[in-house]
Amino acid sequence: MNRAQLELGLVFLKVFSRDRQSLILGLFLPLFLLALLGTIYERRSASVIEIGVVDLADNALSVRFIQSLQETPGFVISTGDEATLKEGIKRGDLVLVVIISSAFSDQNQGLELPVMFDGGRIALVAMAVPRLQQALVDIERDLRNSVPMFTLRLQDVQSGGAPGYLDFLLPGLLALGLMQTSLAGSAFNIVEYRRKGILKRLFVTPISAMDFVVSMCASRIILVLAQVTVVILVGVFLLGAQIDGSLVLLFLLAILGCIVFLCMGFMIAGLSGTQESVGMIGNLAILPQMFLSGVFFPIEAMPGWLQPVASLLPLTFLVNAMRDVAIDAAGIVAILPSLAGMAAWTALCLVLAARFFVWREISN
Amino acid sequence: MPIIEADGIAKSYPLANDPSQSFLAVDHVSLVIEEGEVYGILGPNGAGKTTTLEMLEGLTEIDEGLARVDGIDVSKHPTEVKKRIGVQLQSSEYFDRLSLVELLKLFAHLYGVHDFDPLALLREVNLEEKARARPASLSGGQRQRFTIACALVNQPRVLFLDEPTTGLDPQARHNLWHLVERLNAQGITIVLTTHYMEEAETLCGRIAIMDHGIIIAEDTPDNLIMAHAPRPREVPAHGNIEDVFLALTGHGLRD
Ligand SMILES: Nc1ncnc2c1ncn2[C@@H]1O[C@H](COP(=O)(O)OP(=O)(O)OP(=O)(O)O)[C@@H](O)[C@H]1O
Ligand SMILES: [Mg+2]
Repeated sequence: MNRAQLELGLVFLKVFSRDRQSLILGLFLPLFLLALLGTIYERRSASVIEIGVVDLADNALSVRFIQSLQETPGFVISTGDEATLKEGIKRGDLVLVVIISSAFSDQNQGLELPVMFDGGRIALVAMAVPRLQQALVDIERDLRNSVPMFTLRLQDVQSGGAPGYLDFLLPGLLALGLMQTSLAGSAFNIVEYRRKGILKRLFVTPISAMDFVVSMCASRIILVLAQVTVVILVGVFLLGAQIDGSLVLLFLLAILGCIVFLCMGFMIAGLSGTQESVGMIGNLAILPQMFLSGVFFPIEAMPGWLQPVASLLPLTFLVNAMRDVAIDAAGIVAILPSLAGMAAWTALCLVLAARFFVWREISN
Repeated sequence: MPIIEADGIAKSYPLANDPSQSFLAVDHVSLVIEEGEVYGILGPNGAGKTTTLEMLEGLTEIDEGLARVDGIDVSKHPTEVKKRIGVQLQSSEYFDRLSLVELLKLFAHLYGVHDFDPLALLREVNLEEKARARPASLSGGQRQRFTIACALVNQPRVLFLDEPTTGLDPQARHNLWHLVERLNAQGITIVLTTHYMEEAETLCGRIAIMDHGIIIAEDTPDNLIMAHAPRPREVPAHGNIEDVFLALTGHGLRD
């Protein structure tokens, strides 16, 4: 990048950061959807917290502990053997499983009780653990006047298990948000700049069309990286989503996705001469992808005839790749088919953009 | 040594009502402008003034003919030409949400000028106190002065002004004339278009009158008046350039 490209790119970033509307659309909308949909799901199951208990001690004290758990409001207790209940966590039926070891008795001092839980539902676990602790303290108080006898040892067994909806949603919204930023950002802005004569004014100076494209793309990529960072941070640390795969790969996918949708944006700007038609063609490209690309629910849940179409959309390829990485910790080889799909779309859009794009204002 | 030479430059566009046909918006125009001149192109709407300027500026492709600016072939090296000239377009819009200073800095960077004092330039066009304002908040006259400032960031040898005073009130117009005279006194060659006779008469050393893509007369204002203004039979009084203009282009309404 040369200095002129750098400065123009910085100006694009500055203009964007001062544009409240795109800021809201690009950043807060994905966050809002993530928080809303992610927690609606969690709330629904938050009214009851399903807990599994493996009673290896099977003595009077353990029975009493289980009874006290059953009396705790909001807890639904099921008992069984460790393997079955662990499966329950992985299927998402249980939030956590307490193992009462055979040594559990009124003689204990600092006995560790393992608690297995689903890291993807950390919000629920966080809610349940204090109440679990309270039930233990109640028993301890009765027995020994609050000398601590038991401690909980938490262990996440969810890795590789069934992800929560939040974990499913996060990569989808990352992809959707970055499509908005890249596609809408490039197509709408270029047509606006062209219509207002801003492009013409820029090309009074000795910069080339390539300079403009490089600056535009670089600024969008930086925006997308910032957007993805914020959504991931909020998703993971505030909402408790879990990302198992490589973050580096996820960010790499974000850049590739940004390039796909930038090319698409240039193509749309080329196909549409006026502000109205870019609005129409732009929405024609964005809206179906928003709902058909498996962002909010899996493509497999769609009507059968729709699935082949849906699975070929560019956003579908990106969502699938990001989800494979985020949830299944897929490596680059596993996502090659999705990458190939994205490459094909990039090539197609580039050819059409090169064919139809004009820099000059189009006189109606 | 002429700083601008055009030899038979032409541009055709498809007709608006029949795109299969085309017409010559600029019909093989030739002109020579010497360094240090203020050269005016006067003509009714649609005469081809903007198209002519934009061909010389390297913004519009030249269909036929040859144009040189500062000895450089515009068609072959538009980028080199752009580095040497300053351009005020007929209508200018800028990025929203940027201040005058930020815009000037951007344009300077685009010319590869990285150590640049935007405030000094704003002072020159009397807009220093507007440094942090956005262009949209400027008055018409301030806007035109800012547009000229943008055209000066690369210290151009030639300044092209396309209707710099259209829509301005008399005060703002005179103010802009003084600015143009000041810039010309610094050695900058000025090429401007206008609809205003008085402007052409007071500001320009030479005037080309253009209509239907053709330069129909070109000379100093005085000579044009001598040659074309109708003389009242009794009194040998001077007419003015407006008389010349109407005598040459007729009274019919354009556009
Ligand atoms: N991009 C274009 N496509 C088609 N026709 C064009 C284009 N640009 C200019 N024209 C036509 O070329 C002719 C000359 O236009 P031009 O803008 O050069 O005139 P002008 O003398 O600058 O007029 P004005 O005083 O209104 O600015 C007009 O008939 C105009 O409609
Ligand atoms: Mg014009």
